[in-house]
Amino acid sequence: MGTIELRFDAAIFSADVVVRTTYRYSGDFYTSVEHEATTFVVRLAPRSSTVNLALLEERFRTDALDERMREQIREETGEVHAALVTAALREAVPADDAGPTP
Amino acid sequence: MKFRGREAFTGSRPYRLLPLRFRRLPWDPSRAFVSSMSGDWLLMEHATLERVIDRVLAADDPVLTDMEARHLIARDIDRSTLAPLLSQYKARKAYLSQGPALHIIVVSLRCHHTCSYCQVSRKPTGASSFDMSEEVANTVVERLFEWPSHTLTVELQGGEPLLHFERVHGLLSRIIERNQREHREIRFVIASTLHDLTDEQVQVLKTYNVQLSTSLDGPEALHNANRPRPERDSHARTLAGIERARATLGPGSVSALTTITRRSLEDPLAIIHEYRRRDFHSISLRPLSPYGFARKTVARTGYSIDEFLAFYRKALEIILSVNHDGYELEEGYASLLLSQLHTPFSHGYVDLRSPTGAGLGAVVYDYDGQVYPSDEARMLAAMGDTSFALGRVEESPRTWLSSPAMRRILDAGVAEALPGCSDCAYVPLCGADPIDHYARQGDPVGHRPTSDFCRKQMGMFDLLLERWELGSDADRRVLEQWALKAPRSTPSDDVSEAG
Repeated sequence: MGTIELRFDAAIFSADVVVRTTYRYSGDFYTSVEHEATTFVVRLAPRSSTVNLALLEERFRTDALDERMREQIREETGEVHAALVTAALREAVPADDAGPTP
Repeated sequence: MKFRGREAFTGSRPYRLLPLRFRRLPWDPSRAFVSSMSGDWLLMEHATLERVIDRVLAADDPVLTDMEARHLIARDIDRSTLAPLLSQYKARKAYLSQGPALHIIVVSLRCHHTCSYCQVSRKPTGASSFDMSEEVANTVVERLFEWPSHTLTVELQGGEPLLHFERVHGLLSRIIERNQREHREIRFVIASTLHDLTDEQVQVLKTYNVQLSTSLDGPEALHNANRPRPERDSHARTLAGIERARATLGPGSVSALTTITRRSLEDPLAIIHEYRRRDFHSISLRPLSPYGFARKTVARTGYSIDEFLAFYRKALEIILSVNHDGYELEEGYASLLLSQLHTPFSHGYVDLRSPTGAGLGAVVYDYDGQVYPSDEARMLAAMGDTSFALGRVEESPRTWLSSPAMRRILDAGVAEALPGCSDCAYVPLCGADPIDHYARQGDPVGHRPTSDFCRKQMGMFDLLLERWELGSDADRRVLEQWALKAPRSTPSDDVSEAG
């Protein structure tokens, strides 16, 4: 089986979304992502003959849409996420040099 | 008096998303597991989640109430507080505040077994140069009390620790003596094959309230094949040790682990029935690790994680049916994962901690005075790779924690910041294991799409969640019981295995 090529409209999908989606497939496929004018081109070449190729394009495009949702969530909640983690772990920062500081 | 319409009470209240992650269910991709940053979760239609994110749901839609209760969204933005979510997150990470609570002391590398899958660097029974000296042991005790954790689990292991019982006894005695002025809560565990356990030794163990952790790989033929001795009586010796310990220390004094080899995959029923026959109420089905002799014999004893998960699926069905027959039997790792799913508490299991438990939750003191952040790091060192050696027992914990090895672990030790993990819906319930990734993939950060650790964790969470959702009421009751029984905020589940 040769290389599979998928194209994504850069006006709809960010580079981050396309790269994160491609990363998910990098166990089973040799991958590449290129930016051509207004399109991201993803190429997938199976690493072995046992890789499941059924509905590959459909699976990849669904995953890309899910990654786009995750991007939307991150943009909307990133700030509060960082603030909450900082607040929660503040007391784990050592107050002095009195002992071990795990 | 007339009540106002429903819309007057719900209005068009805006809401904001809180940090959340989702994963389509493998057994029903039209639905998703949606988790909050603190690990609260629900199952919902994926299309509904899309509508929530796109703000096209009616403000009084019941799903918003469910999501608000699980800290996935916040309504009434002006009046709502994030304090409950903050508390929940802190509870989930409570293990961070105490420092290492699990302290593993390797009293000897000597062992009478020649297991092909042994994770450690065993030595012949006569090789006493691989015993921990009294001087090193005394220094270990001093270091032990320099850590801040009020609760300490001290695990003595080997090799076979009973082959150097004099040191075992000395350590128990010295730790208790020192604790007269420290007032820590201390739990002792010995990981042993229990071969040659004597009545005199059992009396000593009783004095110090020691729990025993052993290995029972299944029925006689399988156990003896996995754990050979020249006399071919490994299974009989382990059973005799279990009985001797139980007779004096009590029926719950011995726990057992099952290492799954290729041969074990063929017959989960026989393994589980052996545990039932021997009156165990807990079984831990543990896949092989890529360390020590196990790496050398992987072609003979090894298998893929997918094969392990297929085995585990069959085993889980059998264990559930054993419970339905009226005999209580839990699977240890399932209990831990289910407690992550069904309770808000933290626990000390190193695999399920982020930041990693290596060095932050556990410390290993080797027989020769070398100190490691985990048993896996010690095993790597025994294989000639000292990348994760923290230092020597004569140095201070502060020195160990600021060592290059510890910095390297911490750089890859926060699961929420790792590629492939950062967006995973299971990450609030899972952990980072940089040393395992280094051992398997040559890189502490690792590559999740080819990570056995990740495949196992995801596979187990998926399987348990699927079984919990699709199972009968009786299945769910059993699984929820396991979740509630699992240890919380203690490292008691975190003992390692007998050599």
